[in-house]
Amino acid sequence: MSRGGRGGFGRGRGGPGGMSLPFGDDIKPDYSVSELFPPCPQPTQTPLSKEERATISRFRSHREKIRNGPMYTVMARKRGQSDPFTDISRYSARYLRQTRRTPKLDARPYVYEFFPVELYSTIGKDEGGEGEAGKKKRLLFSSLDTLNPLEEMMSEEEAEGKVEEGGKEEVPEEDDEEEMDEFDDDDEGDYNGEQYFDGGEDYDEDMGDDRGDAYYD
Amino acid sequence: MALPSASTVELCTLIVSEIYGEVSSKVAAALLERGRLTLSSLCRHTRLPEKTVKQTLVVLIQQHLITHFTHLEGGREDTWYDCNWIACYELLHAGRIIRCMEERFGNDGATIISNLLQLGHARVGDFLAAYGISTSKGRKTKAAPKESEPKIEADAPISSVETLKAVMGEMLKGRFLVEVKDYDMHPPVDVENRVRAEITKRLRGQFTSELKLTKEVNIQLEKRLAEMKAGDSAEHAGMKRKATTAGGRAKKRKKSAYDEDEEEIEYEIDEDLIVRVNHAKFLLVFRNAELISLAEKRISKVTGQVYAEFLKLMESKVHQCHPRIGPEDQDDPKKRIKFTTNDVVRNFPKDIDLTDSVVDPPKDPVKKRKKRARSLSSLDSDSDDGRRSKGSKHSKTSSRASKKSNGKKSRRGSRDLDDSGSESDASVSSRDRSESEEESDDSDDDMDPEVRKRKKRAGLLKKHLELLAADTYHFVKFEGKRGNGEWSIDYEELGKKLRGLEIEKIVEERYTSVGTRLLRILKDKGKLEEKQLATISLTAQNTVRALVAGMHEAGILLLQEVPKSLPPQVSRTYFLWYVDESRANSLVLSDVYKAMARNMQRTNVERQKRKLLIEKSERTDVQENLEEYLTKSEKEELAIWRTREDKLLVQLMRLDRVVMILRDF
Repeated sequence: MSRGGRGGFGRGRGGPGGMSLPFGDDIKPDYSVSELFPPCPQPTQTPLSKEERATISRFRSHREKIRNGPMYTVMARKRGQSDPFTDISRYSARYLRQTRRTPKLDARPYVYEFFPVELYSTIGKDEGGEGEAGKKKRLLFSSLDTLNPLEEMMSEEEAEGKVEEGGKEEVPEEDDEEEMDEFDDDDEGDYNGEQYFDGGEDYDEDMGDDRGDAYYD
Repeated sequence: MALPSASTVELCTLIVSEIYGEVSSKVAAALLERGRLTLSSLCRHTRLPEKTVKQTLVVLIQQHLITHFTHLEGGREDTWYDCNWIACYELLHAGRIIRCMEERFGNDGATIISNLLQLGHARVGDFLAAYGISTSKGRKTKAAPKESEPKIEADAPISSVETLKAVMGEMLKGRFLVEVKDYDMHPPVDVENRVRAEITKRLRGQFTSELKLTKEVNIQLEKRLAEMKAGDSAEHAGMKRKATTAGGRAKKRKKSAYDEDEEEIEYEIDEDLIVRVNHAKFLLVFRNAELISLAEKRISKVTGQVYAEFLKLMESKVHQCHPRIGPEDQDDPKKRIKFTTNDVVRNFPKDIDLTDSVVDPPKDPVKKRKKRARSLSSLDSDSDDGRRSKGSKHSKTSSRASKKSNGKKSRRGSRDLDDSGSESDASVSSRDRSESEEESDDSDDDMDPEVRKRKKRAGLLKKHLELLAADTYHFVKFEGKRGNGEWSIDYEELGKKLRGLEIEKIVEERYTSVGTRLLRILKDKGKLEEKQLATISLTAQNTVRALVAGMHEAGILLLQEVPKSLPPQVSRTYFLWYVDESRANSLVLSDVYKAMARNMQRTNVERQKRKLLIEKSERTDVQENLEEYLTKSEKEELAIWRTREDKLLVQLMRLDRVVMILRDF
């Protein structure tokens, strides 16, 4: 197809001053039919080096810490999008990782000069007056013990577990009142009902187990 | 700061979403797509309630991802927000940064940096207080319930707040942490405008001509901005004098591991200081790592180690990849940062073995025989010297090396060596002797073995540095003979080489080695016609045309037409191929950004596929006993997910390396 098209184009405009072959006729263009899907060797990734593994394990734990921290936010799902099958409240949901719709800001001290005035009320400073009345705020410090397990860099699996635990301690109770005020309250996190079914047979087992666990508890 | 392209916006949005969640990424995306916005328009574009937007803005400002500036407009103050896309991108460096600090400052360094990365900026005092509490809490909570995991407890040595403070001081000194200034929180354009306005106001009275005023203002502005970019460069910036207490001396001795200055005045980090992670410095460290690996590949492993030590020295003086320097300073050889061979020798770690790392060129057999005769008759060292400088004239490198190490090894040089302070006390007496014997040759039998060893080491180090200088990449530049040879580094040139190399790699992958050959020829010769290209590259014209067309399509090569006559005719025109490196660079860069975005999207798809399983595995009850609550197939599936994510993440980091080379180095 394209071959014919190109040929026609060349010949049609081949008059003087138009498109003649720019390089003279030293080379005969190859007009033979080329394979439609020529074999294309897929590039393969070189195996991961030790250093790379260490780096990504650090990256991952860092990401995990932020996700468990007060700043990670997920979008609320719009009203009417909730799935009647999976978004029912279940017992096992209490163990799910807590997600928040708005960041939790009042837990730490801020350097007010670095923020614009219109955000002062958001970070807990009265405009004009001094904030920080009464109780002293502290930075949320992800303590050493969450970092240390990663020392044995290859056992990321374990490490992740520890990270979660460390972060979890403060999370559960606080967010409820914050989340609820602006968004519709589907407590289930971001369950997507369709997901449950499209995986087909792969997920049958998971589902079964999930349920099992819930009751088992 | 260049405006972000569409692919960059896509990537940055994905990164922010990956780290800080969807709401944050939505706000960031609105700002990236539309440029600076006020709060109300931001709410309109994101369709989020104002309270949420405000809270998210606080988070992102705290993390330095968003800058803000308040203008007085029509009697009303308007605050505009702008997204710093480079900062968004640099979220990806977290893993590298933590690793890097772990290597240098151990566990404490890693803890500090990882917490600061999470916190954005923080007051040192607050930070230390939080640490103190977390450790005491950690101890308490640990003691009781975690009996089952003695392993974790074992390798969690909890450092004292004092040590942490000292480490922070060191990090500040090394510029890994820097003080946050108020101009860090504003978009650079606004800062520039404000500074310009200030300077203009100040100078207005002194100039009558507007032209001269503008010129002077520009000069001063440039200076001020350079100062801002360099930050506070004083040695004890951000430090304050330590209050001397009765127990001060004992304390000093105790933590001497971190305390290196021998001055009477002790400095410690100022607790009121607000610090942040200095990404620019880390980029420099990454660039050094890249250069070292290149040197290792091109010369040898040991040379790479020598180069690493040299770069470490440079690191104390250079804090950015591209320091902002005025055009008049650029070519001034006095302002170049130089280090001597002796500096390197002094700081060179003992455990790197240099022996036999450089092979001397074979000496003239006649001279060798003479030498043997001489050693038999035990002639004095002076004649031996003469023999050596004569004998080694064969090779350029070695002759330079030996001449300098013999003749020019000045008293100063050897004293420098002695100052190193790391040698054993046993060699004290031999030091004095070395002063008088410094002219003698290495092979002198009378010399103390310790001193001879050290001397030999210095000579070898110098040879390595010469190798680095002699390489076509010019890893170091010879500057002068002071202090046993003085060296500097032309970072700009090396950066260009690194970029070129990276592009060549990509071209090789796509257009085979012949493509690389063509590219190199064009780089070397400038503009060439196809026929010439075929002749020079010894390739059939057909092949050349196919490759050149492909590379043209990708934007790596460009074509220029030069008509032989007027009116221009196609048949009577030269078609010249050439390479525009900066254009090729930016095109490849945008491709890489796209690839990275696809990579992250792929990760998200994979995650979405296993969403329920991942959620389950993250459940607190499941976390506590993974073995029991997960079935075999679930575990397998999780393992698959984990290896896939690993692979994708590593690929992301590899692409990030390319981006750093093409953009930052």
